[in-house]
Amino acid sequence: MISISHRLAARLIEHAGRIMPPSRRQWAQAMAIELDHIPGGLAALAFALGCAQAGYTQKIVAMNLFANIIRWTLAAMTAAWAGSLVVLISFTAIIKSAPGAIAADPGSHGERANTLHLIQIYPLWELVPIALITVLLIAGAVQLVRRRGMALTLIALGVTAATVLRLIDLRLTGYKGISSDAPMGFLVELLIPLLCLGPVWWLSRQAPDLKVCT
Amino acid sequence: MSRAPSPQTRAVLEALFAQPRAWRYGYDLMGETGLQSGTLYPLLMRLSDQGLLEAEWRPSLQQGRPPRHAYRLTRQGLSAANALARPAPKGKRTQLA
Repeated sequence: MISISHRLAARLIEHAGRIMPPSRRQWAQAMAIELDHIPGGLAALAFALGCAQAGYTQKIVAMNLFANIIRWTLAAMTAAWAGSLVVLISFTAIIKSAPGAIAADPGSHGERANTLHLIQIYPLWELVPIALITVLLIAGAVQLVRRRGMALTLIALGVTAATVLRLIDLRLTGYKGISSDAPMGFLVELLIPLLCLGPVWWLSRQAPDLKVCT
Repeated sequence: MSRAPSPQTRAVLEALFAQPRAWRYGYDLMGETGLQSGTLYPLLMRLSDQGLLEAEWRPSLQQGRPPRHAYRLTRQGLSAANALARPAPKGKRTQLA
């Protein structure tokens, strides 16, 4: 006859099997069968508690993998943003160094004329903070890949500086934001980078430094 | 990345290396190494992932019981355990894959 403690132990191992990632299910099955070979209710219960702990460990390991995917994606996005800023700086510097440029140079399309006008009225000094933001973002992306907690600080500084610069840009005559046609577009434009900081914060809090027992 | 094995990993490798060709069971390894199941099983999983341990369902010696999950070191695991068993040269630490 199966004792209560054995039954409870079997339930615990069943639970461990449910929380383990699918790739580990055969290990949960191994634990369940091993339970049959453990004499004594208390020993069985202690064994099952350990198995439940192992189940949670595996769950955390799987989460760590998920966190790694997020980390690399965010690092790639941050690096891509920095890359686009490098293009922006170069493009603006080239246009500004040729004051005689007309709308026909980049193309006759109306939107391109607007872009040229925006670049021509864009203050040259703003390229300096943009370059600084680029450096912060690149450093943040590198630190994120290296699992360093300071990644959050660097990316947050970059996003905040970009947001402040965006607010300064509003005073420019004739400037139209990317999403200025959409209702609440400007707010969305500001909120998206700030919301991106959520996963970075979460990563810096737990996943990057997660150590699994060795 | 290579790193020095923990005392728990070392204990499991040593226990398996003591009878290199024999299939061993989880509960027996717990008794031999003094490790709890919560430490032993994640360790076995990791050693298996690293290719140091092979796991197989073996028929139970007791009639009417389902097959048990049994473990033994692979060729790579045997070399790792052998390297651990030998005293490392001064200033060098034995590392696992």
